Amino acid sequence: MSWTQPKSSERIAAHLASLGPIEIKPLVREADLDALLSETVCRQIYGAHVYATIPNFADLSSDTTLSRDGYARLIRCVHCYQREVSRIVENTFDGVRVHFQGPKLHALFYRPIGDGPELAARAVLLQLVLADFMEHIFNEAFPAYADFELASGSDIGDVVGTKNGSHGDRELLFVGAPANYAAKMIISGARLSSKIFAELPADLQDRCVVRGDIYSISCTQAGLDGLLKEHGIAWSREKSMERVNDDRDAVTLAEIDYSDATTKIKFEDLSIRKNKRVVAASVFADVCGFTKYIDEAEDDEAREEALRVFAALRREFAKVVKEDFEGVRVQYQGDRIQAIFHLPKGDRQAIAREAFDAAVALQSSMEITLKEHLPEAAALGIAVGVDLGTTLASSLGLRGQRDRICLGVPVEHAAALEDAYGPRDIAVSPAVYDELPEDVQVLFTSRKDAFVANGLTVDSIELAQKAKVYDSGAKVAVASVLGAAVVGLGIVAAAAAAARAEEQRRDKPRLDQTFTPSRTHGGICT
Amino acid sequence: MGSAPEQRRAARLQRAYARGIKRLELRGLKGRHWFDVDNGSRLAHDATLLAKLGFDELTHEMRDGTVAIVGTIPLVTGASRVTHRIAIEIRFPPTYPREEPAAYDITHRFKAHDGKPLADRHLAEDGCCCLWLRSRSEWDPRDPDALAHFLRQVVVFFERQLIYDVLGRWAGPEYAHGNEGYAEDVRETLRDRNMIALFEAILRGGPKPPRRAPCPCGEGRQYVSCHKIVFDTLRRRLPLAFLNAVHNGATRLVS
Ligand SMILES: [Zn+2]
Repeated sequence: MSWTQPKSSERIAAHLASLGPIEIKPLVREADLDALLSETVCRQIYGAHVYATIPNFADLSSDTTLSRDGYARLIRCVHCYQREVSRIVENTFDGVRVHFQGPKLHALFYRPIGDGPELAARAVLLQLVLADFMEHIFNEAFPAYADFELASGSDIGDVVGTKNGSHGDRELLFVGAPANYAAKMIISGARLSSKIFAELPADLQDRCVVRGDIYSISCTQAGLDGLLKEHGIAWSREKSMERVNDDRDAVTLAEIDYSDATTKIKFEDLSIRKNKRVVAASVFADVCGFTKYIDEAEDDEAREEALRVFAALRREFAKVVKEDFEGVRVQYQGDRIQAIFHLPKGDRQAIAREAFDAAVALQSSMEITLKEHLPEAAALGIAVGVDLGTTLASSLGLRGQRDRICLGVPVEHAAALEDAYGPRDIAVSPAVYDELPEDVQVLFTSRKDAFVANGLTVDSIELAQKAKVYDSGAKVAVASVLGAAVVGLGIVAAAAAAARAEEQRRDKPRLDQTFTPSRTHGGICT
Repeated sequence: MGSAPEQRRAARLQRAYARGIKRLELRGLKGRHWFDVDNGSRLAHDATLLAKLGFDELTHEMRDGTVAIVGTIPLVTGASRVTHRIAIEIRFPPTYPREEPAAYDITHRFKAHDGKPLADRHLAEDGCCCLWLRSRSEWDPRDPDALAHFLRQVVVFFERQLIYDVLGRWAGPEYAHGNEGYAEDVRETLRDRNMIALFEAILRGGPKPPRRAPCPCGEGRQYVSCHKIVFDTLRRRLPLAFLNAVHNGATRLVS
């Protein structure tokens, strides 16, 4: 399996031909977004976005010294966390639980439609409730993890909502500055953008402190109870605690199984009781500046064009991962795709090579074939981050809305690398770099925490390897280089080519005759 | 001879040629170009060659009162079948086929890289491709299919340009730039250090060995029938600018 230009080009053409017109209209009345949105039915949605995460999960997930029970306990902990947080978002706050990216929650508040102060208040109150939940409920229910802390960020504004079109695993996708910015500002505690601060009612504003253009908020338990009452949010610590305890006790540690994977992981087969712990390469690919590209689109037509590009590259990226390579697509996260490569089992070198080849293929789809079909994408480029190591894969959360999750240091690190580098970059960790062949390593430059190659596409790798043939002074034949003679041989064309080859055998000169490439001279040319 | 498409192509070319000749006649230029001294037979032969070799995107065209080959060469890089189409123009000297044509990167697709001069990738500022050292030309004026070998070298030259874009360096053997490349040619041809020094001394105006004396190389023959022949051949094929540079000491042969 590998990436080829004709195959990728045909795939994109076929998808675009089947896509149909895209509509983007403002969302004006409440609707079930899951039912409303599709690949071509998109909505501009004004809303408040919250991201919340527990930074410690990653370290623990990659800890190979944990005992069997220790590991099972961690999985159960993540499971219970996701379930109760989902309930708080949806039942207590009437928000949309977009998904969990590993341990990181993305939630959206968009109703009542257009009510900035109300949406902002709910988002910020959710941040406060989640912090309180972590400190007073979760840490108590899971004493082994008493040091867990919750970090969150929020922002408000317009995003475009759409949905991934493949059957089976449909996912809501939101692209736009607020959906990005809220995730980027997470460090510790509850942090807010100046935009969401500006929308907040006075009682919440009064509790914020500002540093630079980032606000943060915290309050006592009593203070939070007062605010929730004031804003009509009914959250009971006792009931929350009960549900967490019930969730925990519903699954015994002995029932939680985790094993290595000898065949491609199928997330739909995974659950709290059936997990995978594998040596895996995590790959994240993100369209640099896509948020800006959509936000700055001048008119509806330009925005529809942008969404068309988005739909095409999403589909193509998934095909590259799944069809051209032995990868598993984990999630679409806005304009980002997450994938893992874990085969052959435990073979770090083969896994790293497969993930790297896939990263190069993703760049090739973006730079060569996608731009061939959609010239309006010319200014866009993707950044890809790759890291390798022990990773936990599972499918956790509430029934009917489970999230595919991958936990581990390499997952977080690959995401951070993708985020740190720019268009046309492939950034790999030292662990990945070490497993690559030398003739590929020379294509990278060393940066402070990674090795980075810019502008690599599949043909660059082939050309770099071809250099060895020229350097050796070996004879070559033009037949392998000249496109017309070898490209796209269908059955009819192959017959014609065979006839031509026969003719060439009779008459000299021939394309397949080998000859010594000339020793060139840089200089005087008349 | 040749397949039906090739024959049609040759016929089309003959017609274009006839139209071109007509224009040249009107401008009083007839009889002064390589392609009208033989009634277009070399031109037709070259056109057939293009088709036979699979250069489907190249054609002969009348350009500025003369004939050039224009179009693109599609290069595939390997199993990925990524295709790069390189625009090219091949110009012919009035003395063709006695003297070689020249290939041009007509769109200046390949640019100076990493602060290194364009010559580092064997391209002149006007896009002319330095396929080889002029004194080591692979052009064989007696071969009716000389254009075929020329094109093969152009193809690999362009593939090496694509490699240069990736690696930032030239792949495969090359001569040093400018006159130093010709100095390398001299050193490789003569090999013996004393003979190189002697050749340099002669070029700088020093005394020549007596014709009938034993050749300084020590092979035992007279100079006139030994290294004088080698020196004369070298002088004929080396460019005048280089010989002048050696004469005035700007380029040294003994390193
Ligand atoms: Zn001699």
